[in-house]
Amino acid sequence: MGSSERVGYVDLGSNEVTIKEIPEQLLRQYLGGRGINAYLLYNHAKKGMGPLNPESPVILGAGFFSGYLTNAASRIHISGKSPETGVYGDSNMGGSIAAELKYAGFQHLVINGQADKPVYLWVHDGEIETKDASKIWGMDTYQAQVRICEELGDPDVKVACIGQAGERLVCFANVRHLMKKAAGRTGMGCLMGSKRLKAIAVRGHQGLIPKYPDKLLKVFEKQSNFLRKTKIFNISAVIGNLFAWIVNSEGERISVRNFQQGYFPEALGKLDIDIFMRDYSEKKLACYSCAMRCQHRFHIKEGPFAGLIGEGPDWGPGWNLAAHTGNSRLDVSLAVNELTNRYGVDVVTYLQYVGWLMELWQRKIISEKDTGGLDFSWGNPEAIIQTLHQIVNKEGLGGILSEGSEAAIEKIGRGSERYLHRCGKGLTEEGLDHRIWRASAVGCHTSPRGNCHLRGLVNLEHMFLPVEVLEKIFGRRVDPDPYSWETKAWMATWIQYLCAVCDSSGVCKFMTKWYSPDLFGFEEIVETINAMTDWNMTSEELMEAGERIWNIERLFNVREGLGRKHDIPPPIFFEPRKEGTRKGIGLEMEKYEELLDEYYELHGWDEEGRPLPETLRRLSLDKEPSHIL
Amino acid sequence: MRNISINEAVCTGCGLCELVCSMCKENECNPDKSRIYIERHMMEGAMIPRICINCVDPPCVGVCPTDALRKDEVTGVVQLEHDVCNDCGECIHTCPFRALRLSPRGELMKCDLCSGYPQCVKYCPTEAVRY
Repeated sequence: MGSSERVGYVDLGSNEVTIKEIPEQLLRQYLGGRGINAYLLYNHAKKGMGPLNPESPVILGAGFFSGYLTNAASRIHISGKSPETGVYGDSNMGGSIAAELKYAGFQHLVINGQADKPVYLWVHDGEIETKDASKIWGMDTYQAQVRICEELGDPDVKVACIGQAGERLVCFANVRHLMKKAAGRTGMGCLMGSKRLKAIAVRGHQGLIPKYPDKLLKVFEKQSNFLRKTKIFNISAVIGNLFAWIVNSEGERISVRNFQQGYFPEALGKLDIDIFMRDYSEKKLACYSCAMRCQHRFHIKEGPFAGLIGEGPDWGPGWNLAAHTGNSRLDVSLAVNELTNRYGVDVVTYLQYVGWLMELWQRKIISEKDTGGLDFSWGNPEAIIQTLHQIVNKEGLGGILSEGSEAAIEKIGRGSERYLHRCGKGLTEEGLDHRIWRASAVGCHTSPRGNCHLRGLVNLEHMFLPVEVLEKIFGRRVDPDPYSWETKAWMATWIQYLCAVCDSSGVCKFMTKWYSPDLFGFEEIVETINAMTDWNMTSEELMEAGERIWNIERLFNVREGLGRKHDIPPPIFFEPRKEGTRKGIGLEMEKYEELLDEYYELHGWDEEGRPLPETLRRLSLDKEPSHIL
Repeated sequence: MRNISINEAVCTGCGLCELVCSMCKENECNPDKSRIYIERHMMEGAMIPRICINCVDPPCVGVCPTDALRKDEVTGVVQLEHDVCNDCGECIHTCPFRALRLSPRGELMKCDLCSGYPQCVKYCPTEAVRY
């Protein structure tokens, strides 16, 4: 540890900058990234304050490991009150800006106030300046990054920025970095836009000095050698996470046509990963300090999008959400991803809405009169692409989506709400069908930001692993039957704490047991901590840090008045599948409520999901907000 | 002689080479103190590792005003004598491969092949840098 574990506070209204060092005890309790962001948000956001109030902060946090020699500690976390849902909001992305922020002398930035004209922050070697962004305002996310690097005269400046969507306060606008990286969900780009903050540019030359350099090298060597021999590493190194499409579509775990089906036969011969690898993928790229390189650089060589070059996409937006909108054209899917990257729109939320509109069209709830003549038949590329333009330009049917789901439902009316699948916290679902999950259903839907596979999806639930292997991972006997309701509360809890630790240390979840049973767990992460510091931390203490982070995020939502009903998945998941090999499978409300009881009890929460006083004392949360930072 | 070779087509830009180098040479994690660095071109997706490849007839040796750089006739390695180097940067401008640079402290940095066991090569996941 060096002098980079600091928080920079910026008030864009008054141009004041304050810098505080993070006490070691807080680092030990919350690490960094998501953890310290959660602490800062709970301490700095005021109860009931609207997300777009200038005093509602947007917080950036590099992972505790970011910038150090560790495997894939590339993640940065962005937190704030969500303009999309009005409750806890946060999102996490890779790239190289987390490490750069540490080299520039900061682990976190807390940004408040509203600038009187467009600005960007220039964070460099321990200093924070506000720079005029009038000429950059209006640019897409690629143009803005290139322009800022040119303006600052250094191609190695790392930039996180918003596109036109964030500027125009689309409530699900995201924050972008490089060509592919996105802090996607819950509208953190909208928060930046509301502060007239176009970008955060970072460059630093300060090194990070681990407590035990030789030990850190040895841990890195050991973990690298292990990692590179695993099957999952070698699959991901070639096709990225696109194998998940094969696994999940064959397993009928995805949303097809807005959750009406779970299998997409039209994809055969069209969305195959082999086709992408043969005809589109040209190169693999990686986030900082990651050997796995899950990211593709692709090139569309023919058809209406010929000449388009882009990066990504991830299997979720590129494939899963193609199925969600009935789209079996890979070039359309790639082009749409590229457009969302440039505009700075969360592709998940946007395509969820498109799927919704297409089902409304199918059911004749909306017609050409509503769509301005656009045909919303399943998979129609024109409807998919035009909706995106409309969202960003705030015009037509797409325009009403930019204000969020409540406004859209109110404007469309006619019983349309039934077909927009949102979790209890108001966030639209992702693309995974929770009818067939048990641990994941409760794990994802108790997430502080609303349904989130990156907070509580238990991939291990569906891998048919031997019970002994599961017992070794979860530390207690768990039921390997994916449809069983037994022991699933613990599986969800364990994964949630692991995810919290990943997002706080900055380690990508693709390196961990969230992704694959043979990858890293608490034990491996704590090895790195004990080389970076003299804490002699145990994996139990690290897991407790995960629990503390999970609880302080919960406290934020409890303070906003959220409770049990906000942890319930949308009604669609309680309607059994009507067809396919999983016909008849669905969540059952009674069973889900029982599972929720068990889950709350495990966490030390009351029946409404509020942490009990003894739980807060045990986790040293009873004095929060303590305003140490 | 055994030498460094670069295949930039497969470089992913992960920067593990930079981190490992700075840890081995400086005991800190700092890509700006690494003897190898990656030139990153976001829009082109190009990642170009820059490291000394010990030219047969190295122009840096010819321009060095203090004779701090010399080509070892036995090993073929271009060697830098830190005590003699005045960090003037003439070699940096002369190197056609942009393999030399100054550290944030203004000191010339040059790969010394880690005494025959280059650590960047050991950890490069795609063999973009080989020895």
